[in-house]
Amino acid sequence: MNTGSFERTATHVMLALFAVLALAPLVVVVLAAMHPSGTLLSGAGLPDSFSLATFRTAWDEGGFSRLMTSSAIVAVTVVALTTVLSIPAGYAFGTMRFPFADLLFYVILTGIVVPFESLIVPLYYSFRDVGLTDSYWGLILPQTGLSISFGVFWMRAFFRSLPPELSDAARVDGATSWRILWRVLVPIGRPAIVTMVLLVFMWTWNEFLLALVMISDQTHRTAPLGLSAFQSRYGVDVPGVSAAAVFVAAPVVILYVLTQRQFLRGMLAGSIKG
Amino acid sequence: MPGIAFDQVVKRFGQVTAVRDLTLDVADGEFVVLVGPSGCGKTTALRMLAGLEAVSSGRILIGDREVQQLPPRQRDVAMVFQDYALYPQMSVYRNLAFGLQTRKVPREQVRQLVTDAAERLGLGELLDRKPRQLSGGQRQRVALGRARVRKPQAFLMDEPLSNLDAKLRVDMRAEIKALQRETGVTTVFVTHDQVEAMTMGDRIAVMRDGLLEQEGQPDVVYNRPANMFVAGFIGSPAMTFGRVGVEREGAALRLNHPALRLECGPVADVGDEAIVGIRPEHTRPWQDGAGLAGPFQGTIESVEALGRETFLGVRVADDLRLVVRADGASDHRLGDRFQFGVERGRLHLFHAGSEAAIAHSV
Repeated sequence: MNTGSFERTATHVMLALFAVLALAPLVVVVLAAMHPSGTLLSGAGLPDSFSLATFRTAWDEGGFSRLMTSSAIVAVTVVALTTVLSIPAGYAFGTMRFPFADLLFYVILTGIVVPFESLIVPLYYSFRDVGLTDSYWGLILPQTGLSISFGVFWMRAFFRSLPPELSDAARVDGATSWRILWRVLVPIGRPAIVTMVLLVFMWTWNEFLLALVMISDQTHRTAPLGLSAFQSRYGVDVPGVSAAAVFVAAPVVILYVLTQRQFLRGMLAGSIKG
Repeated sequence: MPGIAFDQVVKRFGQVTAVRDLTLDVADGEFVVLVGPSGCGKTTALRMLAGLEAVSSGRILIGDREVQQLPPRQRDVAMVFQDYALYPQMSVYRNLAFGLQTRKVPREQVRQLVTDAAERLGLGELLDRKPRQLSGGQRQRVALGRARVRKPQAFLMDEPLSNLDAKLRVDMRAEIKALQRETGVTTVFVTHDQVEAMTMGDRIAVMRDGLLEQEGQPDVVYNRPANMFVAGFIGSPAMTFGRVGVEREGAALRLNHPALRLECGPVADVGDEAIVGIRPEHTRPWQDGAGLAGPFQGTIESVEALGRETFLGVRVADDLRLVVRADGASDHRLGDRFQFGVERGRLHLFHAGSEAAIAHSV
């Protein structure tokens, strides 16, 4: 075996190992969900017979129709607002010179730097005072604010990575900054934008703590909160909570699968000469 | 078609002055080349003309209009960039059409103009392709087409040929020149390549460190360089220089160097010391009776064989190295002792302190 093929084999073995490590928890959860609801489980194990009945039970008992709708409303709105606001802001920070640009950018970055958990309690009282608790806006506004920090940071890096001649050419061709952004640069930035959308969607969809604090009524509860329905004082319905976990994870996984090509390109942008 | 004028234009980037008091007129329909080494301010000057850089002070005129305060879209100029700057997600057609669509030209007219420009530049078959599916030469053609299709008041070209291979560069030179002649559009072309400047420009403007050193017709700049910088920059291989003592013999001058004695005709305003400049093409291997000044002797330090001719780097003394032109067929080796002569009446004299030209062809 020469060095090349040894290295290749070793690489594949390592990658296979990491893939197993990454996938094992998912497989355990899916297998657990295949057991009848209420079965006492300890550790991973194959069910006696594979059944999807637990999924149906969990969907109905957890009220996932409503939970998923709430999560979708919040996540889609946050993603839409973040995208629409981060792209022009990132463009301005990435390509334009204006007074206090650096200072403003650092202010925006605090959203990434400051731990969100430390803000939740004061935020709760502020939102309660203005009547935004127990509403979708109570979830949408803080998460949009946080996501914009990342979005601006991300899009600024993307716009800075573009050759300035593209904007210059469009400017000489008669385009305004607005037209350059939407007609020339954004179409090129699809991988970066898709990556941002996917990450923001994932973070918003999976957000648990904020929803737990801000929402106490049933109408506005989001999917991650639905997992708590399977916990009682006597213990946890492991097959039920596993099925619910699959529901909660599914949208992000599906979105990733649909966009993975663009996502990988976005993550690698700038690291490899195109 | 209007001309262009830079009037005492200055550009500062913080503490650095990139362009100093640039005053240059480009006549209507003229092809002017800004040439100089990297960092001399030529691209900055072009970008100020395009509106891509703000002017620190001074005026820029296109025709009768002062444009230095106007955004690029109101200047009606077209620019060709070094890296082509084609829009990668758009087809060739859309690249060509973008500027017209931005200016709200009716769709049918856009189609007509784009098709005409594409046919003229041999891009007819490529209209549906994306830039990444084109060769370097084809991309450059699209960039030219994008400039041409708008029928602008001026073409601005920023080293558009520097990414092309040598052969394609020669072809594109001719093509750009033909395009300019055909359209009659005033053109400012930036390059660091003096051959490109000499072959393309109706006039060339040589810049160094933000200053315009000399402007004029290529043969004038070549034959009557204003100073040592221009003399050394324009011409390939470059003019070589030697510091000489000056002795007067009646009206004529004798130029003395321990290893080189030359005579030249009467020159006014020359001190006891000067710099003599000799172009390689005015030197030859020594031949008795050929009417050359010499013979001079030196050691061959470099041989640059170009086929038709060979340029020999000759060390005449520790402080004097000259380049001598020989036949392509000549057989010279490194380290050989070598005798050569200099054509009479072809010397350039420069002031030893200021490096400004004192006399040419003496």
